Amino acid sequence: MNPTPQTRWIAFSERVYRVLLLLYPADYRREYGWLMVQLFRDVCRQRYHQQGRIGIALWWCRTVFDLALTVIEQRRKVRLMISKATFVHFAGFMLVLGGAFSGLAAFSQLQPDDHFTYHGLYQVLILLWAPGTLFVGLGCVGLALSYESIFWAKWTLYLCGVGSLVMTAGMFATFLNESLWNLWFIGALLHISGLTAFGLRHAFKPVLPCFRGLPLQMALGWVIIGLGILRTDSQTTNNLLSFLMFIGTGLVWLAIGQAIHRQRRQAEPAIA
Amino acid sequence: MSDATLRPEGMLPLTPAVFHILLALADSEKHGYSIMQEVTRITNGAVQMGPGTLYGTLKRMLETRLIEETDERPDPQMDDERRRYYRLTSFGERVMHAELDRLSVLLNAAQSKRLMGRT
Repeated sequence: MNPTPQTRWIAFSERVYRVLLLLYPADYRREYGWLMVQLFRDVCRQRYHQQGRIGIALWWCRTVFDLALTVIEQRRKVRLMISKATFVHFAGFMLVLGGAFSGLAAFSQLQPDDHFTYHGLYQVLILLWAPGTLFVGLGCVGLALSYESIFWAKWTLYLCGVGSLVMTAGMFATFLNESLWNLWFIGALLHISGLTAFGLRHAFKPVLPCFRGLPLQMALGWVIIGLGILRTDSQTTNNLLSFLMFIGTGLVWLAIGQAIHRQRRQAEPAIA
Repeated sequence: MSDATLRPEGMLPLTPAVFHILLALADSEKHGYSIMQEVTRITNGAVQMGPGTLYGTLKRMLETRLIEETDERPDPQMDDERRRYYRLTSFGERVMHAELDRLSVLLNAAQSKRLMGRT
């Protein structure tokens, strides 16, 4: 049986539309591609029946416009999901790195004299603080994204992360102008506020795989040692308290990061 | 989380595409083509969705649990091709009613200011 002009036009349009569907992300195409082709064909039949070839041409105009808009939308969604998934996947690893760098940087506080300038090895150690706070900040943001459905965990961890990133910016800013060290201080306050809020709630309703009371202990440690630093006149005591504060923070983030990283790695085969 | 614990207010205001599809599915389950026809009918031809917009929106609505897939079967009024059917969830129904309430408040406000029927 020879194909009628109607079936020829519709079959040709369908073939072209199938090729154009390659523009969509593969997962989306697998799930909805055949349904979209089916719908496209149904409308082609209807339009041909109503207006002939003009009807199909008009339907093509609408379809091309629709395709351009929705391809961009679906591609953008996939990119966002990939970048978010990467962040969440590496959150534990980033906290491990951040904790390790911060822990090492803590030894810079053992420099015997005051801390306006650092010398020799202490100067190298203090520089590790910038990547330390950067990785802790990124790790906290990754954790916040992974706890997106838990309102309090998400926002307190965001605060922790942003605080840590502001601390990093503060450190770089201090290199340019020493008076900008306040930025680091603001970052530290944000970080501790987030950590305290997270720790308070986490103690009663834990979300991390372990360490129920640790985040709160870390936050309280910062506050108690910070007050100690403000009250003491002795440079040696001051240095020791600073060391304790920063080594504690580094080790806690290291432990939390390690636990999360292990949990994610164990979960991976099950997901795959 | 069950549908009963989800809050409809968190979904408002709806995009026109989502609202039109909710309205189209309000009386019965439908497949893609019949949703499209119903949307065109209830908007007097003003809204005609393309395949990308329709299935992109349906995907989003499935993710937010406004609708659910029922099964795949042919439509006896069309041909023997299998078609995927969609229907409203109880949450989808609550969201649709919440949006209708929101719009009716606005409509009443517009009526009280005698803004209706000027075009």
